[in-house]
Amino acid sequence: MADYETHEHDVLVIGAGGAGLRAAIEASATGVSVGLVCKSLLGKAHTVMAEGGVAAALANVDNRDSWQVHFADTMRGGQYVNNWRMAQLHAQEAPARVRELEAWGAVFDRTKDGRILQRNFGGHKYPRLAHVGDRTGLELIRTLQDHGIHQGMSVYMECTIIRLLKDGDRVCGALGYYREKGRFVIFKARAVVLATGGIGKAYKITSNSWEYTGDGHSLAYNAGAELIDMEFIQFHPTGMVWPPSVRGILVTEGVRGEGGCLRNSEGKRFMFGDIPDNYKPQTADNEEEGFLYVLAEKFNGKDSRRPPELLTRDHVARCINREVKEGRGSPHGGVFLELKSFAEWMKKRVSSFDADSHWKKKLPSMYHQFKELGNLDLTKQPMEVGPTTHYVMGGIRVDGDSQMSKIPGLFACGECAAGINGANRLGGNSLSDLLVLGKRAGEYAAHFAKDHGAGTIHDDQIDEATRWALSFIDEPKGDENPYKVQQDLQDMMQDLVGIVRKEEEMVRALDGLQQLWERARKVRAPINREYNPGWHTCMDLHNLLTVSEAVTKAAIERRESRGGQFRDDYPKKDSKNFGKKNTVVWKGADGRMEFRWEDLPPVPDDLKEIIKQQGEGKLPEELQ
Amino acid sequence: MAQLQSLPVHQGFGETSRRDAWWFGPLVTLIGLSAFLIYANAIVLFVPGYFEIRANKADFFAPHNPAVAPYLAPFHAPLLYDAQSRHAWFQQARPGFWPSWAPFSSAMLILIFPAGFRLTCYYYRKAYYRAFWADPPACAVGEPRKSYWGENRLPLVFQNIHRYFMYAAVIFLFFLWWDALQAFWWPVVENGTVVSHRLGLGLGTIIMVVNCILLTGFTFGCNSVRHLTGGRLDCFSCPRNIAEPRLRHKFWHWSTLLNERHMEWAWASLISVGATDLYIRLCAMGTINDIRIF
Amino acid sequence: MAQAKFKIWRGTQDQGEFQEYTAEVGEGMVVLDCIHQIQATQAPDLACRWNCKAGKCGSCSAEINGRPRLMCMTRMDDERYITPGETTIVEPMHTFPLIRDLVTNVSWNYKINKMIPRFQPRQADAPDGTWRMSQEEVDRVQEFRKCIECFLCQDTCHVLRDHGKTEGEMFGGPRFMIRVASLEMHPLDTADRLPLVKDSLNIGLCNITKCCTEVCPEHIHITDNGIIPLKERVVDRFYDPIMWLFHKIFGDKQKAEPARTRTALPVIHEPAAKS
Repeated sequence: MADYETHEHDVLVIGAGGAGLRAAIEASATGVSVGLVCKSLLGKAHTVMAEGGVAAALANVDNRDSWQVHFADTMRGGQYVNNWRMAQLHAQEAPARVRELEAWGAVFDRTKDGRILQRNFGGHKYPRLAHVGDRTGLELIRTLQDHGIHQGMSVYMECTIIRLLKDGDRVCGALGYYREKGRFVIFKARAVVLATGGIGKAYKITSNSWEYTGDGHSLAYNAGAELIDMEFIQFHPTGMVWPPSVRGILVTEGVRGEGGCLRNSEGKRFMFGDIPDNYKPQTADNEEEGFLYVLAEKFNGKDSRRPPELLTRDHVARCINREVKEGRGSPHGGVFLELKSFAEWMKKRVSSFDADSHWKKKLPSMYHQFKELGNLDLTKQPMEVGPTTHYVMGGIRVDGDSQMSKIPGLFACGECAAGINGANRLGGNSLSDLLVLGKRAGEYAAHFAKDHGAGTIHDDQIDEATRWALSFIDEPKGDENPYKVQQDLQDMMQDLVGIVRKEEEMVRALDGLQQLWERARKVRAPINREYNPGWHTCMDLHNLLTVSEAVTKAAIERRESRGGQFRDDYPKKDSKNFGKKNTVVWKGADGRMEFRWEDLPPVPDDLKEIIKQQGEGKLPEELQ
Repeated sequence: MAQLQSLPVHQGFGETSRRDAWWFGPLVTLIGLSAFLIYANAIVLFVPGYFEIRANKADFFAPHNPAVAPYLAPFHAPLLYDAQSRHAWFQQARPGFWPSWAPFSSAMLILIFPAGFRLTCYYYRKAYYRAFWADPPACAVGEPRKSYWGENRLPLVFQNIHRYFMYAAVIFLFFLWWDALQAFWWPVVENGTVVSHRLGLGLGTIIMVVNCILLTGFTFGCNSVRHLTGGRLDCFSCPRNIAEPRLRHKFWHWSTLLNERHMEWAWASLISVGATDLYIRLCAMGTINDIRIF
Repeated sequence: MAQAKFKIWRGTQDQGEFQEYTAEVGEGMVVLDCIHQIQATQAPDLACRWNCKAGKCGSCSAEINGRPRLMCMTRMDDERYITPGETTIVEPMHTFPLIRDLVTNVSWNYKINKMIPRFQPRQADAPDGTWRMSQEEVDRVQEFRKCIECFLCQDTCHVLRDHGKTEGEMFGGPRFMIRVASLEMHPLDTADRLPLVKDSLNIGLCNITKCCTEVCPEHIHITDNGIIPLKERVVDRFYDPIMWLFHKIFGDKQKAEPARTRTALPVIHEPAAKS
């Protein structure tokens, strides 16, 4: 074998965000040896950006909540193209995963009687999000991190994986490089868990960080796994729009959950005018009821319905987009999100209500974010917000119970795996998803490692990958600037495969991608292997192009609008043709991306019954 | 940890890449604290009298020289020894054990307590470690010395005694408030003797009350008070009845509110103590006249 | 668009120099935006860490005009840190060994973290395995848990920065004082970390000069709410004779873990030296 630093583990977890950490903790607990690879420093992963909370039917605030309701909410939010098994397991196991966090030291906000407090969020029927102010993700990752480091796992920080290594059909390890010195490192592993997060960096306006280049998607794809649902990309309705340098940075849904109102330039709460039929029974139709819902516990308003600002993210984002397009946007191309109306309403009921300190306590990091980056006091002034690329529902196709992909020994969990969220993810479901399915992935990966021997690493795979990696600095084929290529890709995806999509634009995007692929082969970086971000970008670029192509291909094929996919040329849902199918892409024998449709697994009768009860007497088939 | 080779290492005193006036804060602290120290030492060493306003301003210690105002300068409070003051605990000029050749001021017996309270106070430690000892002079600014023991060894390990000075400070606070209340009870002097007392108010009374308020705010915002009231507890409502009213949490919370402005309380009370003392002494020496309101 | 001049440290542990760059500054831009612009147009291999660009991950710590700051939270029009018209100096953190340009090796911090025994809750309060705590109780530890591990407090702490107390009689640093505080003051935790705080993390080395509190981007009152209360607890246990007597007579609340002293630095994985 080539003379590179080599480590051997039973389970290798790639990605150290919430899902990766949770998988690594679970695998370690079974006694196998675990390696955890982080692209950044430990604890810096994108999970820290999750602000609102973790969805779990603890029923602490509203005792009518249960896993059944959570399951039905998730399916409804995903427009019934979810993997029912994942949605079921997720709803059932989330409460236990959240309680477990508390036993590991997480400190959630409390109810009056000392239990975990839960807040309202878009698409959730009852207050369901356990939270810590507006920094829940940080709490979660820090808890997992501080628990995990005592579990005996080995952590490899600032290490990027560029290839999965295979022995025949199965996966047997991975090849990566340390960012610090640029040296290669080989990991031998009996099972590999991918938990690399999303693909947000394919877009110009995004809440995602540089790491979000679709590494896991691309690694799995190149190793022969399938990607499904790639057309479903969540545009979070509220990202900052001004100043330009912070465009896209997330404004938590918690702002709306705590009473924030969306208004257009005419001062109208436009969300009241556009409530989809299947959400009408549970959405307020007047301001009074909406406000009452926010503080239901306090004012005995449990039967009041959610304000329309808390409709699902895909819908709110589209409404904002429409307002801006039709000339009713804010000065910098967003809409207004304001807290003043709620404060005034509160003042009428409770004269001692101190809006200033209330918001600072409920939304401390949002307050600072706007104060320091936007020069704006959110307790007094309206914020300007607009949609931002936030999350990809699609990803690696895995089994609902075990999280194993088509490739034996290759598991995936968190954002890079697909299935649970269907066409649209509900806010708060990502944190619970990564806990529940991250745990399962770790557990099943450990079982797999115990049942299977170590594979053999083949030198030719390593030689090919290292030669490829070094070509960008040692013998570049051209003089392209990797940052420029990445920027052009982001601009193109934003314009042509963004929130509102059209067939001819996306076909143009496919052409554009071919040109970008050409350019990506010709990028070069300065000759220097030590902490050279230019070189790293050269390599990440190929992952971004792979996922961009997958998104575009799948989006062209799904000729309907559903959740994260909105087609201007097919603005309606087409349940007959597309309601029971997932898009699948994989790497063909000739290296080209292949596409096919695949039918959804049928929902079992007992779950159908639950959906019927929660969905006002309709079966999923009628709702799809 | 290895040194960077060519990146400027700000190791020398005052070396830094900072361009703001980082020296301004420590300089103000240095001047402020020095001024107070000079004043306090001058009073203790050279001004044994003039801690209250007496009829004969020219000769403070003249026999049968009654006080004409109920004020007591805070540097002499509590007044342990004096031959004739109403405030004195022992009606004699100086304690028997005091060597006759040594100068004496009643302040010498008591000032160690408030001085110790401030010297070991967590805020003042920061202030004088920075301003007087330059360890560090300001954040990310080079220091004059390499060696460092922190508060781990003698003599600085004695900073841990702070809570005992706090206990003393609380007792002193009691005396000071008593003196402030007495400042409302004016002597009526006829023919060189005090014949009775009556309610009254002078500018000095107000100054003494304000001084007491500031000292109270400083003392109860002390980190040792915070610790004692609740900081030492992990859980205010254990075991597990969270519906109980939590008195200790309230005390801790109030102390914490004061503590958040401990620096401001520290300076305000330091200035007020000095100013109250100076005001009464200047009145006592006849340099200025107290304003009697009623 | 206005132009801004930068002097950025370029180099490794052994050699380097300040190089001058110019960036176009638009409205609302922060220092990190300028660094990215320079990276994309003039210096593709300029090394810097960053992730969230919103002050939530604590990756982009550096020293801007000598002040330890997050680059993503320092606006170019903030005159407290950036002087208009003058060249802005951007340096890596000084306290940690330099890797390259603006990136330092902060692994020492992860070793210290590993020395701290994990959270050990008391028995559950309710039969379903959950606990009851009121919001008042948890406010205190929630403040500490806001920490984003940017290590700016470690960088500015003169005990580490100027006196290099990173081994031997070493100092754990402000970050880990509040980490311990978040566990020690946790209403549910039963473990005892005071001997660790006194003997291994050497809280006595802190002379509470509060630079950590000044630089904290999360505005945690590191000194007043974390370190000083811990110091007071250490006094209770180890210095105060009356408290000692009190505990001798009336007994102390039993803590789960035996006292430990002088914990050695744990070994965590780092890239091996060979290439």
